[in-house]
Amino acid sequence: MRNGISNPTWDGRDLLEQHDRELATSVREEHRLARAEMYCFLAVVAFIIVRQMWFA
Amino acid sequence: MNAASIAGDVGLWALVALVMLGAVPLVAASYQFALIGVHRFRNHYDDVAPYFPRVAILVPAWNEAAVIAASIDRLIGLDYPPDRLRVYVVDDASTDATPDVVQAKMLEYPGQVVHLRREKGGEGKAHTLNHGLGIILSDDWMQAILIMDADVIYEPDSLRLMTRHLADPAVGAVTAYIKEGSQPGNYLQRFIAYEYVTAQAAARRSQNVLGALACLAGGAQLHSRANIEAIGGRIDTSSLAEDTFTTFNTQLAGNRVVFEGNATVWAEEPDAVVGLWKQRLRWARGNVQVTLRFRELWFRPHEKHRLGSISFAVFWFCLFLLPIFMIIASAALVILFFVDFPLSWETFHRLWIVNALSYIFITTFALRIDPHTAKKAWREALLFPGLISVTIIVYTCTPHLFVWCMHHSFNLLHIPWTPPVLHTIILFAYMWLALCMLVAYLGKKFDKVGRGLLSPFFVYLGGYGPLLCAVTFTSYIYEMRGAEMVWDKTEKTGKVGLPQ
Repeated sequence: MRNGISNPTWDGRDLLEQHDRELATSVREEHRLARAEMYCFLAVVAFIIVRQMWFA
Repeated sequence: MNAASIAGDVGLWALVALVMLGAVPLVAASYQFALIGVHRFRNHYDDVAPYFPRVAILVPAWNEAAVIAASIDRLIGLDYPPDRLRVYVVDDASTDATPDVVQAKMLEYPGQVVHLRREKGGEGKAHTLNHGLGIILSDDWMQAILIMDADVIYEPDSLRLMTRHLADPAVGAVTAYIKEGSQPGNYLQRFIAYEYVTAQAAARRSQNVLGALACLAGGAQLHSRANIEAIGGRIDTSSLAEDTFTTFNTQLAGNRVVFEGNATVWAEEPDAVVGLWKQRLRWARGNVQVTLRFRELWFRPHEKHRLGSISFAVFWFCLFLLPIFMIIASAALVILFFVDFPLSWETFHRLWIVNALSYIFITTFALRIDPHTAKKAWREALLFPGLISVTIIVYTCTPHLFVWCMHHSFNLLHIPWTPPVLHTIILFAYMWLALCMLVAYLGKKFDKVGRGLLSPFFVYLGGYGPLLCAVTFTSYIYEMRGAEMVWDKTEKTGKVGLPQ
């Protein structure tokens, strides 16, 4: 830990454990966004196909 | 084929190319959104660690009596070790009760709140910040500094989520996701809320991927002490975009800048177009100044920083020159209309089908990025380009169905469906890319007129995006004229709050 607090607990909490939990949440959020992007991209592709078949 | 015919063909294709220039910004925006998926693999989370530096929170305040007490309470209440947190309020010669309120808070939180007073104020935020920076840097207590606005609200865990990035010595500064948090908020604030999803949650993630950030949000920038010292210990005062200058200078000093999209900060944004116009004109003029000041940087990759990368420059200029692209595309279409109508019609279709696909991808994805904002601002998201542009998009997507509907609507209204009427509608559609900015501008012109209904009418019709383009276009004129740099402070009412 660079210039961090010397005591790994604060306010009764284990800071390392808290950090790991928050990091996991952040990483999960980035995964969710990547999945959402893929679905939106597929939606655009589906839209192009539908348009070409019925509306063009 | 004779020379005149060849010249004619070249001229026609040049016009087609100019029309298609109008699609470039949206294609670039789609590329920018596509990079967000890469953020899953290319982010800074591998290098974060639990890190709790001593943070000095620097709050510039001018006549903030209405909001400053609650702001200080919330800052002190951040989920962060209290002995590692100090709030420095730089009172910029306030004429209201700000000094009394801050001094009362000093007594309430001894050793944690510091009141710094400037006797000469009104010089702008950068001067106010520099007053505080000079004092904070004069001793070695501060290890990191959080520069913010008086009215913004940090979610309790946000500071901790930001400081973890500073555990990596290569990182000089971290910014957070600013969200529009006015409660209840009106139509304009919902437009801004959606805009911030695209401009921050989305764009800044893709800038993380590129390794070059355009701007640390003025209300949420956390710097390491080393970074503040590396950029000279002060904020640039020569422009209207002090936060962008700080961001560029940080990266030019060889320090990395990171956007932490999971740290949320709530801000109150203007509720009327006139207020928004003033704020954005200041930002847009600042962007002109940044573009010119760092002209040696663009499109020139450098080993020390990524500001010169081609992708970053394309994103920057597509936004910066957007009004020009729109006017050129529209003018070229109108010329083609008179020179070669069938070609103009085909080109118009191609331009708008690209716009339509980009619009569908960007809008659906942006709404998925921030479901909370999507819930309250989905209508504004759909109408971001304006009602008429969305109508053209619908036409492009389903031309036969659309024409059938138009035909029957005209019959019901007893308007003849004749070639001259059709040509007038088509010419209007060709001109719309430029006209939409003018119509959106009427939203500013008619602000507070007609019981306040005219302004939203024009903004919804012309589009919020085109309104911002009109601001950018105005900023060119102001900068060319060398207009005086006035710091128009955005008026705040304290209506911002954490969501229930």
